[in-house]
Amino acid sequence: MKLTRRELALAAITASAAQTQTPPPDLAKVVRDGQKRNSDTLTKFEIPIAIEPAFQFKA
Amino acid sequence: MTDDIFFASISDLNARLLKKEFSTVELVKAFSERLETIGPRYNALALPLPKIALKRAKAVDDELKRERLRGPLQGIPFGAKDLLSVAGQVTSWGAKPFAAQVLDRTATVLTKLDKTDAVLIGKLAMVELAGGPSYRMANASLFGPGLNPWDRTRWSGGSSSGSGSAVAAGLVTFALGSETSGSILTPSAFCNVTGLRPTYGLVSRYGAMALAWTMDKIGPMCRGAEDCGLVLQAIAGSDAEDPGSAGKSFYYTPQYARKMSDLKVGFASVDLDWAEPEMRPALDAAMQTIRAIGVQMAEAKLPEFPYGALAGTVVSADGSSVFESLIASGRVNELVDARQIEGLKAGLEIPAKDYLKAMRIRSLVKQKFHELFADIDVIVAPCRYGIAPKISDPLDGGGGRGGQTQRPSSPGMTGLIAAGNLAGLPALSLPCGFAQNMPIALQLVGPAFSENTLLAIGREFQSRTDWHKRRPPAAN
Repeated sequence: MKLTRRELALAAITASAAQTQTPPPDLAKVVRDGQKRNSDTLTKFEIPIAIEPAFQFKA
Repeated sequence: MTDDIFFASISDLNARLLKKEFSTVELVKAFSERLETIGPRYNALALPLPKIALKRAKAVDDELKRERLRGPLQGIPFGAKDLLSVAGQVTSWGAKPFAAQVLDRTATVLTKLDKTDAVLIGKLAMVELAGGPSYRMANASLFGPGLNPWDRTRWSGGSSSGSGSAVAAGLVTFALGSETSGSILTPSAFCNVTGLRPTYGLVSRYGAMALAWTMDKIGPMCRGAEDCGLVLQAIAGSDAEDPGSAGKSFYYTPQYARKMSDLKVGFASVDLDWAEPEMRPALDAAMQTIRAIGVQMAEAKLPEFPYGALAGTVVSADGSSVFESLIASGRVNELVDARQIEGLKAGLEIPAKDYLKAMRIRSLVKQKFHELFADIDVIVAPCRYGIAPKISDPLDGGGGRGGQTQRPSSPGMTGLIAAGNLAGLPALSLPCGFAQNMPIALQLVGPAFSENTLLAIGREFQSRTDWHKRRPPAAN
């Protein structure tokens, strides 16, 4: 069976909407706790003062 | 034409086109119909482009008639992750808020492939916004969960989900994917596809959705290492439109590959203990095959850094900055994955000190890898430590690392995907066997711009094994 683009898009959006989850109530907290753990890990990691960030800026 | 064309390599198809066994129009029509018919079965198809493809195929046939030969990609049908824009066509980035987005530019990689006369037949599904900064469920996509051609109850991997399943199911000869932290390697491993993550900056990102500016890479997902080399040669190169461009070209030169006996390959024997028990026999056998190709093997240790915290901080901060207006508008709530929604919002609050610290530590990561690659040429490790999860399983459920009650004392190479991406290093995912009837893979990682070495080992491995030629049962 071949689907038109319109049918495909509609099917995708319908499927997607049907699958939308109800977020567990503490999900924002879970994410922020994870971010805090990352922050603590990075804070504890000691590096020499001369180390520059891995950016490249070309003038 | 017989069905074997759907699983043929680039060189094989191109040779048959040149011998006039079939025309480009016939080939492209056959692939386009297959992509449109079977693609939805795996939620792999984002946007079919049959009209454009057929027009292009006719032009390629005209070129072939005049004997204007453009190389091995001429006439080859391919697909591109829907993160790459085609001017005037919908580019959804796999996300509902962008479902009707039409951009006015064509990605440099697609322009480059067009110049080789490869034929784009469709855009392929992906995890919404390439999964940044993190997502919890396999259905985190406008197109539904990527379903694995080897078992449709399992995930095809992310975020280049459609690229993985489309190549595996023979819907395209090759596909383009993108990787910020695992998005080419993971679907390649889960779907039995050979995937190449190029060195950061080797392939232009112009016309691709940004997720993390210093980590995004675009690369090929193919039937074998040889095909990856051919596609990479076409898409690599300097681009003034990409501020991260390394200004380098890539020439696939298997004829100048180093002797296998000259190569030193590092591995961590503890890696087998991290893998799911069912995977261990196949992984062990694959490591024996690597040894048998004649390379020197040596125990190696991944430099010790908090890779998870580093990648998490950089991808979250960058991703939230990229999508700041989406978050401010409230339309971020239209995304499917609740964790992703919360992650994007929270990423705006990452303090500058954390981001800068992460970026400073990345300088050290790069330096330590440089030191490691003074001793060894390549690292080999399991690509993923578990098989593709069930689509109903949360992705943060701790699966894929064996589920064993006692974790090994050393991390081995378990942080290699994040580490390699933070350091901008190239990697090749090589199908290497099956566990519970699902594909598994090795990854090879080398220093920056060592793609030819990785591909040479990959080719040698694939000349001794046939895992990469196996077809999913339902796709025959």
